Amino acid sequence: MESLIWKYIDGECNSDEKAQVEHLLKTDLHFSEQFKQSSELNLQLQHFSTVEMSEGFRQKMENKMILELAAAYPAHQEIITIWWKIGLSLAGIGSIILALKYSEGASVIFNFIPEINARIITMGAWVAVGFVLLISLDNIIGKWSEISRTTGMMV
Amino acid sequence: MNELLVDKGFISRLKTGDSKSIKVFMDTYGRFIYHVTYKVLLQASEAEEATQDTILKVIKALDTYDLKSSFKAWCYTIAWRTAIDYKRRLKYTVDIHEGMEVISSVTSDAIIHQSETQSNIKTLLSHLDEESRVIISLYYLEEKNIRELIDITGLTESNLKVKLFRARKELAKHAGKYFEQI
Repeated sequence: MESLIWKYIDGECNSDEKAQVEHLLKTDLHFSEQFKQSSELNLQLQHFSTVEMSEGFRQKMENKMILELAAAYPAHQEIITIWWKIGLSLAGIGSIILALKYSEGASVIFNFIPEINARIITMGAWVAVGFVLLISLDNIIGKWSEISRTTGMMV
Repeated sequence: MNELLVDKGFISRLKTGDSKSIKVFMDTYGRFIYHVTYKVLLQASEAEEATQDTILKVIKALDTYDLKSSFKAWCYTIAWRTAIDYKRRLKYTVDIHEGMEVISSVTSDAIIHQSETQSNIKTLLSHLDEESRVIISLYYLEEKNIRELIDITGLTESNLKVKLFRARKELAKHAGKYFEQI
């Protein structure tokens, strides 16, 4: 009988079941009492079973989400990865050594380096300078994005 | 509690830290997550910790979310597991009498009555196991939408209905103790 009562309360009874419940409500005192109790319980659950978080906690969570999202998904994707940085640094060091080898009064310790065309060296130096500028720009954009995100400033 | 359409755009905006998307997320899913964790843990402070933990897990796993599935169901799974973990870790047993909250500095009879009823409901629900408690509260939260509940919990319709019936039967057994009118 209880399952029939809950089906009725939930509006899931077919017409026969509905008629049965309505008949029992008129004729069966025990059923009628049980129906009343279940309806009241249903009403109480409907009104009071939801819970709300406090406004303070909600605000705290929103702020925390901003920080966590910034950490988990950086706004700025690095153009140059760490391996590129290592490679370019090595190229930079190489360029400096070559520059020292061909400078006036260069030390004999650079003699182990084979002779290289001056144009190739110049070109290499410019490429190295270009990459250094690119790395710096990458870092500046990264920092800028981070600041604008945490402060809410538009980039 | 209506589910918001979570698409690629919403996920992307959320990932960029868009404040409007964060508010929408908290309104829809934050509240839902808190509801689930609270129903498992039955204590606001513990539920807040579990909610925070769940939301951080959701944030970190956003890239793994399959857009074809329900975002709410995905959040539910994470919230449920996190709350159960908390419950196990804390190993506290819910004393049903502790559920009675002290009502202080209330100003009207209506508020007193509402607080008492809320407290009674909380105490009454503590007679159920965690799963039944969550199912029954979600049933009312989702305005008795069984389809929605199936999506969220992943249970079959018959299994869900059996669990719902058993939970309400159990509640009816104890209801008289807490509500004079029942």
